[in-house]
Amino acid sequence: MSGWVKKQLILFSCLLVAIIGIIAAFNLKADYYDFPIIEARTVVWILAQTMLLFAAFILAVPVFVLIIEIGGYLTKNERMERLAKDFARLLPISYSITAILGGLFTFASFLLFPKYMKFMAGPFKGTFLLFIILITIESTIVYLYWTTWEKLQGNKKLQHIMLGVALNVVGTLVMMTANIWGSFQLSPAGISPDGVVTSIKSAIFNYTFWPLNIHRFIANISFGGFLCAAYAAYKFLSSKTEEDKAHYDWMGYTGTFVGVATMIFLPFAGYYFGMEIYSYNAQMGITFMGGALSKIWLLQAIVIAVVFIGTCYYLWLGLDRIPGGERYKKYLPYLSWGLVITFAVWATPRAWVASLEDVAGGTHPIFGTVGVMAPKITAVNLAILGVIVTFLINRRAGKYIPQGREMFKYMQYILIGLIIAVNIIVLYMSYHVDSAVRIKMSIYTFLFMAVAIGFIYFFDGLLLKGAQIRGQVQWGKMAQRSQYALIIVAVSNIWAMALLGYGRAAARLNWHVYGVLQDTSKYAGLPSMGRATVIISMITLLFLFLLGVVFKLTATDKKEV
Amino acid sequence: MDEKMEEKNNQSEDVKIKEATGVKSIPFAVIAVGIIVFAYIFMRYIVQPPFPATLTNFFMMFILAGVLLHITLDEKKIEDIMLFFSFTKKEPMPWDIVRYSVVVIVPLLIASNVYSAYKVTYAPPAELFSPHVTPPEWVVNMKVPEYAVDPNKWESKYIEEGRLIYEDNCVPCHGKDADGKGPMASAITYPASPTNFKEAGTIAQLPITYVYWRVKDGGITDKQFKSAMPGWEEELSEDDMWRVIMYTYTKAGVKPRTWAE
Ligand code: HEC
Repeated sequence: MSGWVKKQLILFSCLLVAIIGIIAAFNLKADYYDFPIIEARTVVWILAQTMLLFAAFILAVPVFVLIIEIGGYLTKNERMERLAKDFARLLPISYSITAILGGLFTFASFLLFPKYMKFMAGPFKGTFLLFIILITIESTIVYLYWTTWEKLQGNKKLQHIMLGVALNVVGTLVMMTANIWGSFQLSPAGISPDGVVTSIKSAIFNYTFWPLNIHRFIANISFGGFLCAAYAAYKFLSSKTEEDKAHYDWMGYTGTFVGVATMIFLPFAGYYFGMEIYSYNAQMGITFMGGALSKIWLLQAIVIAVVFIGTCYYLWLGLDRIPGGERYKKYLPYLSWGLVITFAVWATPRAWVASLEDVAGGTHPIFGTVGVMAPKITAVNLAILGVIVTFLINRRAGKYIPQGREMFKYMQYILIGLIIAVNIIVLYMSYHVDSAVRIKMSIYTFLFMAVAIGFIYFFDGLLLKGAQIRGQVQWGKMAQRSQYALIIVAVSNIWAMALLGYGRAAARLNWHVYGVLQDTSKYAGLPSMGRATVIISMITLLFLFLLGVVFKLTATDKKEV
Repeated sequence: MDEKMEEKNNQSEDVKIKEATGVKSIPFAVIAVGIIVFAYIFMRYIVQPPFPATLTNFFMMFILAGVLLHITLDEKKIEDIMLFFSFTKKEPMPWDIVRYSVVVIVPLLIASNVYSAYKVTYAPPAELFSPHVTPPEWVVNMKVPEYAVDPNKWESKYIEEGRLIYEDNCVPCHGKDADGKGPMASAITYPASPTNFKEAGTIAQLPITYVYWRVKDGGITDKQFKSAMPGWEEELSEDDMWRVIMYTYTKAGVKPRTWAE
């Protein structure tokens, strides 16, 4: 019990700091206070985003650990058990860092932006309390989860797994509670005309509440996977023995697998989010997609391209360690160029830098046609298909396809062909139909793709069932450059999350709570894109640094493992 | 194990094809250089009007990344490229020209970039340009007149009236066919040339109220830009504006964006 108290001390002191901030804020007279040199907005921005990244991390790790732990339990795989434990080890310290950042963030935002925070504290008092209760429960479970890892082994393993499930459930609730505030700011509901929250229920279940929950949940898992892979890459590059190399290579692969497999659902969650924003307020939708913030999507397209292509590149290079992988190498350049081109389409802007020297000024006939939503959706769909094909190649590379199963292979080819054909036909048609029909068509295309991909995997199962393998996967026999790719992927991922965090906040323009509570501080205007990216990069570095601290503090002795 | 046989066949076929077509004789380095050069020429000289210079650079980034990926997918290609540019292996004349040009041109390109970065110009500083800025509040909440609400029920008499207004006022810039090719159009390029309404990214993706705002207030009211698009509030009555908008949509063969579920 005293161990528990000690562990909770950090959390409680952070809560105390936050509460002191809140109480002090209610005694302040002015609406806003500034922070010397780096400005109030930047302080709150950096604290909030770094905290969110850590919060994503501590949500992601338990999901990730649980998946791996269950996998290890079901397949009796020692290596998976070891990986799960290696990651669970990170949890206690990461929780403490998140709590510290959270405490500082609350303290700073109440003292620097009292007008806004006091407004939120009114109707959301109850949810604040709920939040405190939930995080206390959560950190208790974390403590139990980690300290009982060794005790609950063997036939008690199931109990430990249940603890992991509980941790994830509570963690998700914590995230959802925090999302109430963020989504309310963006799309307030349950408000009377004079700006008073009248229905707390509608305020909670506002337009973007569920989209935000879903988007964040998926993104967090993939985030965890990629961070795991990057950590493994770092360890791989600094490993001295073949044995370590093999372990970290396998770990990188597993992390990447979890990362990409969830990542491919993100675009759909993103569209859903976007659609809800449009239906909440078309003006905000236009700001987001076409106006001041449209350049965010260009940057996003580039970083997501790095993430997608980087992981595929890693998987392609990984064919070298699978006996039989060489058979597929000749197709890789096509896949690679295919992905590059689809992402170039995605990144095609609707308008560009206006310059006197260019014939077309800030627009171009090609942007007017390619820079709109429809081709981008097609491009993303095809990119996802590219990832799926990469997975399929990886699965079958090391196996002999048993005789008489060609049929399944052809079925897969037909389905892949169909996906491409449907996407291209829909793209062609979307230039000739009304916007409402077009949006409906794209939703059906997603559904079709989901079903088709499901069948492709179903046939893959039939195709490879009991197939004889060509040889053991030679873990550790991996080119160094593949590991750098993993690190770049993780960094791009962090950057992308910080960028979209900015995007979500910037969409409110000069409002604290959109259309309800105006930002009247001197930081009401948007920073330039250039300045925003500098701060986003600083946040990325700060997060990486803190993550490095966590890894360092939890580093285990070689002997213990 | 039928696949093993298949593999052998494939390999020998590959070799045969390569021998027959002589593909093998072009070093990969030359192909890579070719892709890069062609992409640049395509964007700057083949497409008309050419891509804006900065955008060409942006897309070249993708091409360079593609080439780099292609090379590094295969250990052997990396070695080949290294060998090619190390000038230790003798190559036939045309390939020699390629590799010498690369080592001469790349530094020159860098130098010219440095030069243009420091050159004093009188052009306004380049700024990112957004054609569809956030509209004012009233635009989002405004009521569309009964006769203009449903594009499927637009009456031809209104459209005909719109045609006259369009031909009197809009043709010089936006062209008779609503394709942005009016007689005055080629003179207007900054920050944007007159809109070709047939492109998917213009009025087809805008709600009709947004277009009404654009016609009424004209020019892009963004802080940095004032485009050549005139505001028509003083010349045209409200009804005139709705009519000309209805005609523009009809002529361009597109419909306004709607939010119908
Ligand atoms: C002096 C030339 C000129 C005339 C005359 C002119 N326009 Fe324009 N218009 C432009 C330019 C240049 C643009 C592109 C820049 C912009 O969007 O502001 C434009 C843009 C537009 C847009 C915005 C399209 C979009 O995608 O945002 C609409 C709508 C439009 N014009 C309608 C009209 C109508 C209707 C008339 C006649 C009543 C008209 N214009 C007359 C030059 C002109």
